[in-house]
Amino acid sequence: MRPAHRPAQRVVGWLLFLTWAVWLAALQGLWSRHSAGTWVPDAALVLAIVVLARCEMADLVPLAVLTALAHAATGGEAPLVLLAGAFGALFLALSLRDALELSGPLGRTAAAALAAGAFQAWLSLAHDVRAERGDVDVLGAASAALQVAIASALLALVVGPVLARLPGLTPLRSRSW
Amino acid sequence: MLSWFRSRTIVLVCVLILAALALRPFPPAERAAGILFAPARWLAELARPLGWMQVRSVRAALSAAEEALPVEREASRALLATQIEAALPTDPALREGRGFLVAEVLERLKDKDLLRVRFPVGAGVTPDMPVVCHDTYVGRVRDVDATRPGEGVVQLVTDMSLRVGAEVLVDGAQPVSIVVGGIVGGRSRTEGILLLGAQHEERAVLSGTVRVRETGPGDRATRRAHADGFGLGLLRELSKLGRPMPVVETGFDYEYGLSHVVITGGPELATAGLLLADDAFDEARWCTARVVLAGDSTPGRRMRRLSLPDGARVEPGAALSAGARFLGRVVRVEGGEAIAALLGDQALEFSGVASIEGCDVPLHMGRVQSLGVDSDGAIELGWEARAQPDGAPPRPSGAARIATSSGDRGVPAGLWIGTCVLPEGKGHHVLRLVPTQDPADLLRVSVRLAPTMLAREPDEDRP
Repeated sequence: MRPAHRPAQRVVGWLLFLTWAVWLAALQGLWSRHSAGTWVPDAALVLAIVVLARCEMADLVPLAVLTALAHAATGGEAPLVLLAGAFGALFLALSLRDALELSGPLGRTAAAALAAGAFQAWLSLAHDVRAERGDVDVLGAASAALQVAIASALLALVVGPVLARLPGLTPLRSRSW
Repeated sequence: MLSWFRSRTIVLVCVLILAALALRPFPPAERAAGILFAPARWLAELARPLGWMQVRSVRAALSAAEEALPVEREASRALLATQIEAALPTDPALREGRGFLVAEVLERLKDKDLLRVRFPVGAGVTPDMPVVCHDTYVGRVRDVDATRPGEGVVQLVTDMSLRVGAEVLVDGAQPVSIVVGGIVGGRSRTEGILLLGAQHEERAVLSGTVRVRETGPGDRATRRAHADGFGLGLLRELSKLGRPMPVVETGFDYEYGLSHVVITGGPELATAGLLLADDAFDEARWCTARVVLAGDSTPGRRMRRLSLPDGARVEPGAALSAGARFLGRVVRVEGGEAIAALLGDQALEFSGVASIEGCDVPLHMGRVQSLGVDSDGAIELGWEARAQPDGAPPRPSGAARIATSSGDRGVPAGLWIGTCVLPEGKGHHVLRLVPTQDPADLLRVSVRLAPTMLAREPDEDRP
């Protein structure tokens, strides 16, 4: 069991998580600005999953809000769509934690694929529904989600351990593993 | 309070509630989320240093747009002049003894068959004057805006409350009187051929060409009669609920096919001044905004957060440009910031006009939707090519240069978008556009300002 961190340390930890998430989301946006956006990993969400692996259930709320906030700062989606998407995606990853250890390579990769794919599919679906175009492009959403899921899974597998050791995130480790 | 979220059931319920609120926008919830996410504006500044890596490419893109401005501005004005010319009637019989006043379509009012139009101030436009486009009847002037000189509202013939007197021309027989107005069937609106409602006044006929015939006693009828002879379409019979019903079939795109219309009247109208389009290049109507981050973290999207100058009045729908080049439109305005959809983003829609190689008359394309970006950087555009009416010449096709057209609030006509090839045939087409300016790199853009005086909804003008 790890020693509990003081609340002030955790607040600093959350602020640093937000900073890293914004930077990762911005880098990902800049990297893909000329492309069709396919095969681009959701780096901010992968960071959130890496952190979630060592958090308590109650930490899901700040984690989802801050992940959505990082996306809102670097993208144009409506805040409610991002909030619902981040909550749902991280909840799915959390549910997977019962079966797989998320801090291990297999669990981390599977959770990143599941969460990033679900988040991307949700954004496509929400866009079509809110635009009131009448037709929802399910196939297009599934294809885009699959590409983002694979790219995010690879990122989590390769870079996950580095993301887990980013400076300032240690106070967020509250769960024994 | 966070301890409640130790229960998975509570978290799941919260996720479902949030999802429902996100899919069916509920203004108070959207406002609350907007307040919660207000720090996103400042957080975006954290990523600002990343923009320094692309300064060279940004400068190159901006200077190219500025250098091309004089040539592109002249080309744009020439295109507008051709569009205005193309809106005027060509049939000599329709021109005889009449005056015509070209009006620019500013916007289509929501959920109504009404257009807000702009015409030369002091031209003598009054309600009930007929409105046409080329040789086709479009509707009539419903209101002249007292608060905004030179603006008014046109009621289209597709409006359920508009009725226009007409006659059916049948070979070798006397014309038969008929009344036309409104759309038959909701689906008719989304299909290529519109069906206008019709009612026989005398004996019933099954087919024939339908033309306006409103001659009658009184000032009102005299004004309306200036549309006599303009076409409405072809009469045919539709079986509705097992009963035959006369309808007028028209290939004219009343939904999105109007960028300029012509108000008709007596010969005195011809003395009115020439219409100058809402000038796309009037510097007073633009402000310069900073792109906070030249990228979008959501894969497949091309949206940008813009930092607006103090006091800039920008509305959703406003155009983004660099020189004479169209870049995208504002989607939301949040205080001193705006969220914009660039060319290539799925949230972008606009009215387009195509200048086709070897074709003198520009083609009004109607609604064009941005679908995404191809792997080679080409922009994919969705375009619904309307069916041509029977007997009409085939729609021109081939290599074309696309520009913005009138009819979208906040987007001036004549901003260049790019080049593409227009395919033949009706139906939904995906066009591959090579943009005149790739907006992905830019860190500074011009944003169209809202007019100083807001347009009122036509119902507000009425007692």
